[in-house]
Amino acid sequence: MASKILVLLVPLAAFVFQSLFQPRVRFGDHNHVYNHVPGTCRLVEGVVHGAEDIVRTRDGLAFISTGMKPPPAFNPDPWYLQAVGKILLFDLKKPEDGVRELKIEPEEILSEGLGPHGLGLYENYAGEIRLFVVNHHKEGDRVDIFRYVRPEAKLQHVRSVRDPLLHSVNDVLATGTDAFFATNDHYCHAPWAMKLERFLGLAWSNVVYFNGTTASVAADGFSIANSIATPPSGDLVYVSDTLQQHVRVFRRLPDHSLELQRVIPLFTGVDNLNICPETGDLWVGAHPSVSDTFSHIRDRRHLAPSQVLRIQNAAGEYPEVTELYANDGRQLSGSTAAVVYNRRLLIGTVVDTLLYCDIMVPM
Amino acid sequence: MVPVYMRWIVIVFLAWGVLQHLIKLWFTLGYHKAVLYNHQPGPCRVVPGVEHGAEDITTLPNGLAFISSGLWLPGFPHGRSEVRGRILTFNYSDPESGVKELNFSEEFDRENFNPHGLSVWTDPLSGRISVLVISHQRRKDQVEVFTYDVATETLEHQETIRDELIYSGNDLLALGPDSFYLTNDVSHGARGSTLARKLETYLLLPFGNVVFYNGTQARPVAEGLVFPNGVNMSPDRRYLYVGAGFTEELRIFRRFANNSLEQIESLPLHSFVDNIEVDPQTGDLYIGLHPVIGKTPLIHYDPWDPPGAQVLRIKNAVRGPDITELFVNNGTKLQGSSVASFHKGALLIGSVFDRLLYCQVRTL
Repeated sequence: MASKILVLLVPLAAFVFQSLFQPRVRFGDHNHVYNHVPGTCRLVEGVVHGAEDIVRTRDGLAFISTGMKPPPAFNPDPWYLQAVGKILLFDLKKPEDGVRELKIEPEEILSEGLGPHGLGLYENYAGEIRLFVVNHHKEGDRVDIFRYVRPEAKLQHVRSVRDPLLHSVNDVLATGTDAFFATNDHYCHAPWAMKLERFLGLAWSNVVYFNGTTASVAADGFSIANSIATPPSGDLVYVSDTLQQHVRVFRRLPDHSLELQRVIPLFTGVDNLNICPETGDLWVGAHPSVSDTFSHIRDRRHLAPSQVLRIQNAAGEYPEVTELYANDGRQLSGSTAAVVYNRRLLIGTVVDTLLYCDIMVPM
Repeated sequence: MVPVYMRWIVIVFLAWGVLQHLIKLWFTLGYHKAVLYNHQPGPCRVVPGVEHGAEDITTLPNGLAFISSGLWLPGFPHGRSEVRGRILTFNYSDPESGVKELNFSEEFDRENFNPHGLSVWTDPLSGRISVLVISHQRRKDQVEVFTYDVATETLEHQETIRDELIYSGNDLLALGPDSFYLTNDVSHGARGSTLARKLETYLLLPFGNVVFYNGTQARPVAEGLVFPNGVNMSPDRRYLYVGAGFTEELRIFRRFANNSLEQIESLPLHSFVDNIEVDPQTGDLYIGLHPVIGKTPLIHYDPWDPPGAQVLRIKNAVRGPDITELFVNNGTKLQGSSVASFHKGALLIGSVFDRLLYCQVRTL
């Protein structure tokens, strides 16, 4: 009799044990984060509702999305719901000037409520700069394409791209004046389903390509496809998967679908990717403990660790990973993105603030 | 008559206890740290001429550092005959000159010199520099006391200290020319037998201690530590710091006039703590740690999967610790870091059996 009970109990205990342990290991609960900086760092004034994504032009103009309201599925702290979505500009050639809010034309875009998430930048040699913004509009996710008008420091709306395939968009990578790749971080639509999708680690999230007219799925099978970047040559595409804690390296095929080449394991909650146009280095904002970041979203007093990684030779067989910044959450909570220009580093966060550092360590 | 199910309950309970310990051991050995993210506080270079470790370093206020090199213990990568115990000096004011090997006075038996922790004491009146070094002999350990002759760069051997309570010395802290605190990292029984040592290590038994030798005799001043490692004290001599290896903590003790200790604090550092150096001006602690102690020769060394390195700096250890990670490496630049010594913007990082690094610190 007893042996029969054991036969039932042991596998049950093993299953409970496994399901308790595995998510914890995946969500990064167990690793301690030590503080270190690459030089002197200071918080950038005037940024209090996050700086979820940052992209920069070749000459150091950084565009920052701020004021993202976490969706209700994450039970966000009410403080974050007071945020107003904006796009900020930070000139890395003149860091003392801090950030300035960019005017957006037409005004309705801001007054209807901009829900900015990921950013993509298109820059051509003729000097045209286009900013692609993932907008969690109240009528549904869309990608807004703006032209940056330098002399007036304003964003001129060009078009909004809506498509059934774009339903849970996280980040966008511009590949032409009207073309882009976008990541859908979840497959499911309903909040409860998204939660389950995350907890069970289902790999159903995807990357979509929009050619200017229609959208198609370029790659799928991600747990949380978060961010996407490409080196200047454009032949490779990097996609970060937050829950699988790695960066996938794809070759871009003529039909714009993506063929997996290899994976760069990073063992941390990888968020946004940025490529240094000069060196091809990948700059990664990451969450050493995704569960702490989720807790930080539920309660702003709960600190979440931050981390910035630099990947050299990302396209090669043996990428070299260096940690440029790490914090237990007291200086910066929930880092998501990093850009570097001329030894100047900007680190953005989901809902916290923006950090500026001078890099004094060898690069 | 014990019912059958009672027996099963006991078995399951015991099995659960064993499983708990195995899991704790796995995390303690650091295997859960799948990756170490490399970073350094500034440019770093390898100091030439040091290949068999720089297990401990102590720096005088004038920038002269003493380094023990050539420690050999079973499980180390090189053969016993390839390694020679040496004491080296490095001058922070002249980093380009690298390390210099010190000569010993003639009568000293350098064949059996197997140096581990070292400490330096300067006589406040005469300026005489005493260098005390733990040397591992076959069965037991002893402390060699030297006087450093600045002119001839020689270590004149003064005496060999042996005591019943000095049996598995790891590090020591000199308070006089022949008095010191010393950590015994395992029990006396474990020192003598490989099996007992392995058992004590894997069971994480708290049989390590700290003793105080007053010039004549040693007595225990702190017990119940699991592999205590480095020992040092605050500049005002009020607090003693001990690296509690396997419990991954920095233990802070209050020191009394009679040299006895009372534990007041235990700081979790989340990696195996090795040696501790203290900046005499700021009181900041510089600590060498092993993020994955399981990959060091203490447990099992595999040159294809080497242990990494980690250095922490702790400001205000007693009142409100502010911990910064100064250096981490996954083993490609340095393996098995055991000590870090800071002087005027430069950091020397030593290792148990690998190399010596010299870094400029640009981030403090």
